[in-house]
Amino acid sequence: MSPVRSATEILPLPPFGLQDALGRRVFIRPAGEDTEALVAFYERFDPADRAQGLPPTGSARIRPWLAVLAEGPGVVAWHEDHAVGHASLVPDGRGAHELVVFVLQGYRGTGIGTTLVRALLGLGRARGVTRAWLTVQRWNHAAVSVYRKTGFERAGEEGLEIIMSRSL
Amino acid sequence: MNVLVVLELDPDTGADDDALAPLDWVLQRARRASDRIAVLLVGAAPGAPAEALEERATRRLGSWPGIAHVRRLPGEPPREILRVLGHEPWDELVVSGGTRTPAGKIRPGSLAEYLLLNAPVTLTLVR
Repeated sequence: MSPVRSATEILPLPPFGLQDALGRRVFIRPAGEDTEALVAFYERFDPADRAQGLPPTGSARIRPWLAVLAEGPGVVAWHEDHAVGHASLVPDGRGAHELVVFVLQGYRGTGIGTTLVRALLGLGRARGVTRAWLTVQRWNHAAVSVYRKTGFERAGEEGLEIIMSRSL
Repeated sequence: MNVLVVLELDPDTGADDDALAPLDWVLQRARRASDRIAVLLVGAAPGAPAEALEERATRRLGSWPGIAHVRRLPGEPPREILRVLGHEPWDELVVSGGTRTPAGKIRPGSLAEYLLLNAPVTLTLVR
Protein backbone atom coordinates (compact mmCIF):
# COMPACT_ATOMS: atom_id res chain seq x y z
CA MET A 1 0.00 0.00 0.00
CA SER A 2 1.32 3.40 -0.90
CA PRO A 3 0.63 6.16 1.60
CA VAL A 4 -2.45 8.26 0.94
CA ARG A 5 -1.53 11.69 -0.42
CA SER A 6 -3.92 14.49 0.12
CA ALA A 7 -4.10 18.13 -0.80
CA THR A 8 -2.99 18.93 2.75
CA GLU A 9 0.28 17.02 2.39
CA ILE A 10 3.17 19.28 3.31
CA LEU A 11 5.44 19.99 0.37
CA PRO A 12 8.63 22.02 0.70
CA LEU A 13 8.74 25.40 -1.00
CA PRO A 14 12.07 26.35 -2.57
CA PRO A 15 14.55 27.93 -2.08
CA PHE A 16 16.09 25.67 0.54
CA GLY A 17 19.31 23.73 1.08
CA LEU A 18 19.98 20.09 1.81
CA GLN A 19 22.88 17.77 2.39
CA ASP A 20 22.87 14.89 -0.08
CA ALA A 21 23.75 11.28 0.78
CA LEU A 22 27.41 12.01 0.05
CA GLY A 23 27.46 15.04 2.35
CA ARG A 24 27.42 17.65 -0.43
CA ARG A 25 25.59 20.89 0.26
CA VAL A 26 23.00 21.31 -2.48
CA PHE A 27 20.59 24.20 -2.94
CA ILE A 28 17.19 23.93 -4.59
CA ARG A 29 15.94 27.15 -6.14
CA PRO A 30 13.06 28.09 -8.44
CA ALA A 31 14.20 28.24 -12.07
CA GLY A 32 14.51 31.76 -13.42
CA GLU A 33 17.34 33.67 -15.04
CA ASP A 34 19.58 30.63 -15.21
CA THR A 35 19.20 29.55 -18.83
CA GLU A 36 22.95 29.52 -19.54
CA ALA A 37 23.65 27.33 -16.51
CA LEU A 38 20.90 24.95 -17.64
CA VAL A 39 22.26 24.81 -21.19
CA ALA A 40 25.65 23.91 -19.68
CA PHE A 41 23.95 21.33 -17.45
CA TYR A 42 22.26 19.61 -20.37
CA GLU A 43 25.41 19.77 -22.49
CA ARG A 44 27.20 17.86 -19.69
CA PHE A 45 24.49 15.20 -19.72
CA ASP A 46 25.82 11.80 -20.82
CA PRO A 47 23.97 10.76 -24.02
CA ALA A 48 23.82 7.23 -22.56
CA ASP A 49 21.68 8.62 -19.72
CA ARG A 50 19.03 10.01 -22.04
CA ALA A 51 15.56 8.53 -21.76
CA GLN A 52 12.54 8.77 -24.05
CA GLY A 53 14.47 11.05 -26.40
CA LEU A 54 15.33 13.61 -23.69
CA PRO A 55 17.23 15.73 -23.02
CA PRO A 56 17.91 16.96 -26.56
CA THR A 57 21.57 17.04 -27.60
CA GLY A 58 23.45 20.17 -28.63
CA SER A 59 22.67 23.73 -27.56
CA ALA A 60 20.74 24.47 -30.78
CA ARG A 61 18.17 21.90 -29.69
CA ILE A 62 18.50 22.41 -25.95
CA ARG A 63 17.61 26.13 -26.04
CA PRO A 64 14.16 25.93 -27.69
CA TRP A 65 13.34 22.90 -25.54
CA LEU A 66 14.25 24.86 -22.39
CA ALA A 67 11.89 27.61 -23.55
CA VAL A 68 9.07 25.04 -23.62
CA LEU A 69 9.97 23.81 -20.12
CA ALA A 70 10.02 27.41 -18.90
CA GLU A 71 6.31 27.77 -19.72
CA GLY A 72 5.60 26.18 -16.33
CA PRO A 73 7.16 26.19 -12.86
CA GLY A 74 10.69 24.78 -12.62
CA VAL A 75 13.33 24.11 -9.97
CA VAL A 76 17.09 23.78 -10.22
CA ALA A 77 19.48 21.92 -7.89
CA TRP A 78 22.81 23.72 -7.45
CA HIS A 79 26.08 22.34 -6.16
CA GLU A 80 28.76 24.98 -5.87
CA ASP A 81 28.36 26.99 -9.09
CA HIS A 82 26.88 24.22 -11.22
CA ALA A 83 23.34 23.12 -11.93
CA VAL A 84 23.23 19.39 -11.11
CA GLY A 85 19.49 18.78 -11.40
CA HIS A 86 16.47 20.34 -13.08
CA ALA A 87 12.77 19.58 -12.92
CA SER A 88 9.82 21.24 -14.59
CA LEU A 89 6.03 21.13 -14.80
CA VAL A 90 4.98 21.76 -18.40
CA PRO A 91 1.37 22.81 -19.09
CA ASP A 92 -0.28 20.10 -21.21
CA GLY A 93 -3.04 22.34 -22.59
CA ARG A 94 -5.65 20.18 -20.92
CA GLY A 95 -5.55 21.66 -17.45
CA ALA A 96 -2.79 19.45 -16.06
CA HIS A 97 1.03 19.57 -16.13
CA GLU A 98 3.61 17.06 -17.29
CA LEU A 99 6.51 16.57 -14.89
CA VAL A 100 10.06 15.99 -16.09
CA VAL A 101 13.17 15.68 -13.93
CA PHE A 102 16.85 15.30 -14.82
CA VAL A 103 19.74 14.70 -12.43
CA LEU A 104 23.40 14.63 -13.44
CA GLN A 105 24.96 11.15 -13.28
CA GLY A 106 27.28 11.83 -10.31
CA TYR A 107 24.35 13.10 -8.24
CA ARG A 108 21.91 10.25 -8.72
CA GLY A 109 20.92 7.91 -5.91
CA THR A 110 21.69 10.62 -3.34
CA GLY A 111 18.17 11.86 -2.64
CA ILE A 112 18.51 14.94 -4.85
CA GLY A 113 16.01 13.71 -7.45
CA THR A 114 13.34 12.98 -4.83
CA THR A 115 13.91 16.33 -3.10
CA LEU A 116 13.86 18.14 -6.44
CA VAL A 117 10.49 16.62 -7.36
CA ARG A 118 9.03 17.47 -3.93
CA ALA A 119 10.27 21.04 -4.24
CA LEU A 120 8.77 21.30 -7.71
CA LEU A 121 5.42 19.96 -6.49
CA GLY A 122 5.50 22.52 -3.66
CA LEU A 123 6.27 25.34 -6.08
CA GLY A 124 3.68 24.05 -8.55
CA ARG A 125 0.97 23.96 -5.91
CA ALA A 126 1.86 27.52 -4.86
CA ARG A 127 1.48 28.57 -8.50
CA GLY A 128 -1.88 26.92 -9.01
CA VAL A 129 -0.97 23.55 -10.56
CA THR A 130 -3.62 21.02 -9.57
CA ARG A 131 -2.58 17.81 -11.35
CA ALA A 132 0.77 16.43 -12.45
CA TRP A 133 1.48 13.43 -14.66
CA LEU A 134 4.45 11.79 -16.31
CA THR A 135 5.48 8.89 -18.49
CA VAL A 136 8.37 6.59 -17.61
CA GLN A 137 9.88 3.52 -19.24
CA ARG A 138 8.75 0.51 -17.28
CA TRP A 139 12.29 -0.79 -16.75
CA ASN A 140 13.51 2.51 -15.30
CA HIS A 141 13.12 1.31 -11.69
CA ALA A 142 15.17 4.14 -10.16
CA ALA A 143 12.86 6.75 -11.70
CA VAL A 144 9.68 4.85 -10.84
CA SER A 145 10.91 4.63 -7.24
CA VAL A 146 11.40 8.43 -7.08
CA TYR A 147 7.90 9.01 -8.48
CA ARG A 148 6.30 6.58 -6.00
CA LYS A 149 8.10 8.25 -3.10
CA THR A 150 6.78 11.61 -4.25
CA GLY A 151 3.16 10.50 -4.37
CA PHE A 152 2.69 9.47 -7.99
CA GLU A 153 0.52 6.49 -8.68
CA ARG A 154 0.22 4.37 -11.77
CA ALA A 155 -2.57 5.78 -13.93
CA GLY A 156 -2.17 3.55 -16.96
CA GLU A 157 0.28 2.04 -19.36
CA GLU A 158 1.03 2.33 -23.03
CA GLY A 159 3.23 -0.38 -24.45
CA LEU A 160 6.70 0.11 -23.03
CA GLU A 161 5.72 3.01 -20.80
CA ILE A 162 3.90 3.61 -17.55
CA ILE A 163 1.81 6.73 -17.01
CA MET A 164 1.79 8.03 -13.43
CA SER A 165 -0.12 10.94 -11.95
CA ARG A 166 -1.03 12.70 -8.73
CA SER A 167 -3.10 15.64 -7.61
CA LEU A 168 -1.65 18.62 -5.78
CA MET B 1 16.03 -1.50 -52.74
CA ASN B 2 12.32 -1.76 -52.05
CA VAL B 3 11.15 0.54 -49.31
CA LEU B 4 7.67 0.51 -47.86
CA VAL B 5 6.73 3.75 -46.11
CA VAL B 6 3.76 3.91 -43.74
CA LEU B 7 2.19 7.31 -43.11
CA GLU B 8 -0.26 7.38 -40.23
CA LEU B 9 -2.86 10.12 -40.15
CA ASP B 10 -3.27 11.54 -36.66
CA PRO B 11 -6.85 12.77 -36.19
CA ASP B 12 -5.55 15.62 -33.98
CA THR B 13 -2.86 16.99 -36.27
CA GLY B 14 -3.98 15.88 -39.74
CA ALA B 15 -1.72 16.05 -42.77
CA ASP B 16 0.99 18.20 -41.19
CA ASP B 17 4.74 17.90 -41.80
CA ASP B 18 5.12 15.41 -38.93
CA ALA B 19 2.74 13.04 -40.69
CA LEU B 20 5.00 13.16 -43.76
CA ALA B 21 8.30 12.84 -41.87
CA PRO B 22 8.93 9.15 -42.72
CA LEU B 23 8.52 9.86 -46.43
CA ASP B 24 10.71 12.96 -46.27
CA TRP B 25 13.41 10.92 -44.55
CA VAL B 26 13.30 8.23 -47.22
CA LEU B 27 13.41 10.78 -50.05
CA GLN B 28 16.34 12.57 -48.45
CA ARG B 29 18.27 9.32 -48.17
CA ALA B 30 17.27 7.74 -51.45
CA ARG B 31 19.78 8.46 -54.17
CA ARG B 32 19.38 5.72 -56.69
CA ALA B 33 16.53 5.71 -59.16
CA SER B 34 16.46 1.94 -58.94
CA ASP B 35 14.99 2.28 -55.46
CA ARG B 36 11.32 1.55 -55.32
CA ILE B 37 9.18 3.44 -52.85
CA ALA B 38 5.64 2.51 -51.92
CA VAL B 39 3.63 4.65 -49.52
CA LEU B 40 0.73 3.29 -47.49
CA LEU B 41 -1.64 5.76 -45.85
CA VAL B 42 -3.29 4.42 -42.74
CA GLY B 43 -5.49 5.63 -39.92
CA ALA B 44 -7.64 7.84 -42.08
CA ALA B 45 -11.34 7.56 -42.66
CA PRO B 46 -12.27 8.78 -46.15
CA GLY B 47 -12.48 12.56 -46.03
CA ALA B 48 -10.62 15.81 -46.45
CA PRO B 49 -7.63 15.04 -44.11
CA ALA B 50 -6.97 11.71 -45.86
CA GLU B 51 -7.15 13.38 -49.26
CA ALA B 52 -4.80 16.14 -48.10
CA LEU B 53 -2.27 13.59 -46.87
CA GLU B 54 -2.49 11.59 -50.09
CA GLU B 55 -2.08 14.73 -52.15
CA ARG B 56 0.91 15.96 -50.18
CA ALA B 57 2.60 12.53 -50.32
CA THR B 58 1.98 12.28 -54.08
CA ARG B 59 3.35 15.78 -54.62
CA ARG B 60 6.52 14.96 -52.68
CA LEU B 61 7.05 11.89 -54.84
CA GLY B 62 6.55 14.00 -57.98
CA SER B 63 10.25 14.78 -58.33
CA TRP B 64 11.36 11.25 -57.45
CA PRO B 65 12.82 9.58 -60.56
CA GLY B 66 12.27 5.98 -59.46
CA ILE B 67 9.19 3.85 -59.19
CA ALA B 68 6.78 5.09 -56.58
CA HIS B 69 3.17 4.84 -55.69
CA VAL B 70 0.82 5.92 -52.94
CA ARG B 71 -2.24 4.15 -51.75
CA ARG B 72 -4.67 4.23 -48.88
CA LEU B 73 -4.85 1.12 -46.79
CA PRO B 74 -8.33 0.18 -45.66
CA GLY B 75 -9.20 -2.19 -42.85
CA GLU B 76 -7.13 -2.89 -39.78
CA PRO B 77 -3.74 -1.22 -40.45
CA PRO B 78 -1.35 -3.51 -38.51
CA ARG B 79 -2.55 -6.72 -40.14
CA GLU B 80 -2.94 -5.12 -43.56
CA ILE B 81 0.64 -3.85 -43.47
CA LEU B 82 1.92 -7.34 -42.62
CA ARG B 83 -0.14 -8.70 -45.51
CA VAL B 84 1.44 -6.21 -47.92
CA LEU B 85 4.88 -7.09 -46.54
CA GLY B 86 4.19 -10.76 -47.17
CA HIS B 87 3.28 -10.21 -50.83
CA GLU B 88 6.53 -8.81 -52.11
CA PRO B 89 10.21 -8.83 -51.14
CA TRP B 90 10.53 -5.55 -49.27
CA ASP B 91 13.91 -4.59 -47.89
CA GLU B 92 12.81 -2.03 -45.35
CA LEU B 93 9.74 -0.71 -43.61
CA VAL B 94 9.78 2.96 -42.54
CA VAL B 95 7.21 4.30 -40.08
CA SER B 96 6.77 7.28 -37.81
CA GLY B 97 8.34 6.79 -34.40
CA GLY B 98 5.30 8.20 -32.66
CA THR B 99 4.34 11.46 -31.04
CA ARG B 100 5.85 13.60 -28.30
CA THR B 101 4.51 14.67 -24.92
CA PRO B 102 4.23 18.42 -24.10
CA ALA B 103 7.70 18.23 -22.49
CA GLY B 104 9.11 16.45 -25.53
CA LYS B 105 9.29 12.82 -24.43
CA ILE B 106 8.89 10.36 -27.27
CA ARG B 107 5.79 8.20 -27.14
CA PRO B 108 6.09 5.28 -29.52
CA GLY B 109 2.81 4.83 -31.35
CA SER B 110 0.98 1.56 -30.95
CA LEU B 111 1.35 0.84 -34.68
CA ALA B 112 5.14 1.31 -34.48
CA GLU B 113 5.31 -1.00 -31.48
CA TYR B 114 3.24 -3.66 -33.21
CA LEU B 115 5.42 -3.52 -36.32
CA LEU B 116 8.60 -3.54 -34.24
CA LEU B 117 7.51 -6.86 -32.75
CA ASN B 118 5.94 -8.43 -35.84
CA ALA B 119 7.38 -7.10 -39.10
CA PRO B 120 9.66 -9.60 -40.87
CA VAL B 121 11.91 -6.89 -42.35
CA THR B 122 14.23 -4.16 -41.12
CA LEU B 123 12.17 -1.46 -39.46
CA THR B 124 13.17 2.19 -39.28
CA LEU B 125 11.36 4.57 -36.92
CA VAL B 126 11.59 8.19 -38.05
CA ARG B 127 11.34 10.88 -35.41
